Amino acid sequence: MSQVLAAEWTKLRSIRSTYWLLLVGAAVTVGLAVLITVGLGTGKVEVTGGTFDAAGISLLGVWFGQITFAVVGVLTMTSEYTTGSIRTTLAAVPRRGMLLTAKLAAVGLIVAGIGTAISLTAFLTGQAVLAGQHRAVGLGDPGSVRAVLSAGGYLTAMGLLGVALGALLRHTVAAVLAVLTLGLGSALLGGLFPAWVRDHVLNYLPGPLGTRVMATDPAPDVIDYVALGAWVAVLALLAYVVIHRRDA
Amino acid sequence: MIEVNGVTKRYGKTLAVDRLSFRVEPGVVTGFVGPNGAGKSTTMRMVLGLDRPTAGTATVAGRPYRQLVRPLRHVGAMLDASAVDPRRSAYDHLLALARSNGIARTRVSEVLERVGLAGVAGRRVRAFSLGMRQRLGIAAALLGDPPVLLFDEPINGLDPEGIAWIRSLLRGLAAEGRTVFLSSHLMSEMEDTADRLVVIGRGRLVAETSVAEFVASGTRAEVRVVAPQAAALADALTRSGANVVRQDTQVLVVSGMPAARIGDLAAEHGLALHELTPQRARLEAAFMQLTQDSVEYAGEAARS
Repeated sequence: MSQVLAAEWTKLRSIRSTYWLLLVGAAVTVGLAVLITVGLGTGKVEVTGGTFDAAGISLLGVWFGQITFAVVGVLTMTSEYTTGSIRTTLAAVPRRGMLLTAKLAAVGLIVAGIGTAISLTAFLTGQAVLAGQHRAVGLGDPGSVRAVLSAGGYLTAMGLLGVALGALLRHTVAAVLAVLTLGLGSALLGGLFPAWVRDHVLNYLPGPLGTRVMATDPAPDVIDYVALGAWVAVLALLAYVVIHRRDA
Repeated sequence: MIEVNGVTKRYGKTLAVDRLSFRVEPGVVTGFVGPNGAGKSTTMRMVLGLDRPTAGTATVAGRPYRQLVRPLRHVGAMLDASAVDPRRSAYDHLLALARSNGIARTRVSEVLERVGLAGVAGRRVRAFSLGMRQRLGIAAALLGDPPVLLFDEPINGLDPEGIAWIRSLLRGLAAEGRTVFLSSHLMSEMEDTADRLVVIGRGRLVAETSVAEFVASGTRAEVRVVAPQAAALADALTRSGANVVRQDTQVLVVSGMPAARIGDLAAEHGLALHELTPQRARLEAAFMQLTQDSVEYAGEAARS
């Protein structure tokens, strides 16, 4: 298993798009933290409804940055199918469950590490700006560390969902659309649905779950973490079943 | 050793491979030939565990491929030279494969050297010609120093120098006692490369034999004779039991009699010979004859 993981690691780091995607993800996540907090200072951006969640606001960029992390996950799987290299890969690693696990682990490790670092940077940068407005929180304040770690965790979940959907759909565009629907669909299209569907269905899509786990006020429910984990587990399991059944 | 036992592969209504059985032995080069669409690539994919047979089993060294731990050390395969991510360098492509099977990093440089790609190891595969990709595919097959090697259409897209190179490589690998199995839709490619043949058509086994036997079985042995007194010679040969067809005023095509006996008879009768040539049955002709009934996509001309 560790050999297969090492191989997947080599594959990830030997392709330029991995670096570009992570760089863009970092720029978007941290850049938005700056834009939003500076905007709040000039009064051009306002917080509507609820309380002022300083930690959550500095992590809002994560919500856009998630796209690039999901795409990193999608591409590790779909690039194998679109280039045909899956046949070379499966000839080297015929245990398909092991291959899928290794891909999940490689993407998970890279996104967890870099995603958490980016989230922390966004938090610290955002708070530095908010400090000028005398409404910053520190890492020592209640819920701050949890919010930053949750943001990293949410990005990791999106990366893993990308791998699973890539394995299920095998086409880059289809898998990216699917993962974006899970991440952003509810916010972009939620208004089209009746309130009951929004509250009981769309609210449990990964996107809204992610928004809640990254917030400090109101604090997230345990059920939000469980639901996010369940999304990853169920889709990974589906991918596991399908990858065994299909011909390469 | 590769064993295919009663393998059937069905895609919806299409029967790609139909109860196919054969063995590929070590120490020789075995050619896997059949017209396009005969099921060669499908069979190779099933041997490698990429596709699941609808029925039957395929084993390598007595085990199904999917059960092999670190399979690259047992079997090396080049199915499709384009089965590479073009964004990766040749070196990184092989390094990832090597790592997945616990093969030392130094081995990557060795195989790149062996296939003549050491100079472009750091270049991305996108920039490679088809011939270079073929060589990279062969390097990947050799990576684990495996006793069994499979190549799907390895000669496709190579220049004459490349063809000569791969022929000597394949023969060398077989001489080291390895099992070498390669497919082609062109029988002529097998003539100087393979020792044994597995011939299929429409997913069924047509022949499993040696190249020599295959040639002998395919066409009757004929001798071309040029003689100034062709009519007299034809009489003499026919009386001694040969089958003679007069092709031209001075040209005879004789079957059912070896060249030496024809020469002796001519001498006995005091008839001059200007040419006496045994016609080697062409492998291609023998192949066409055997697979005629099993060509799936025959052109109209070939059918009539």
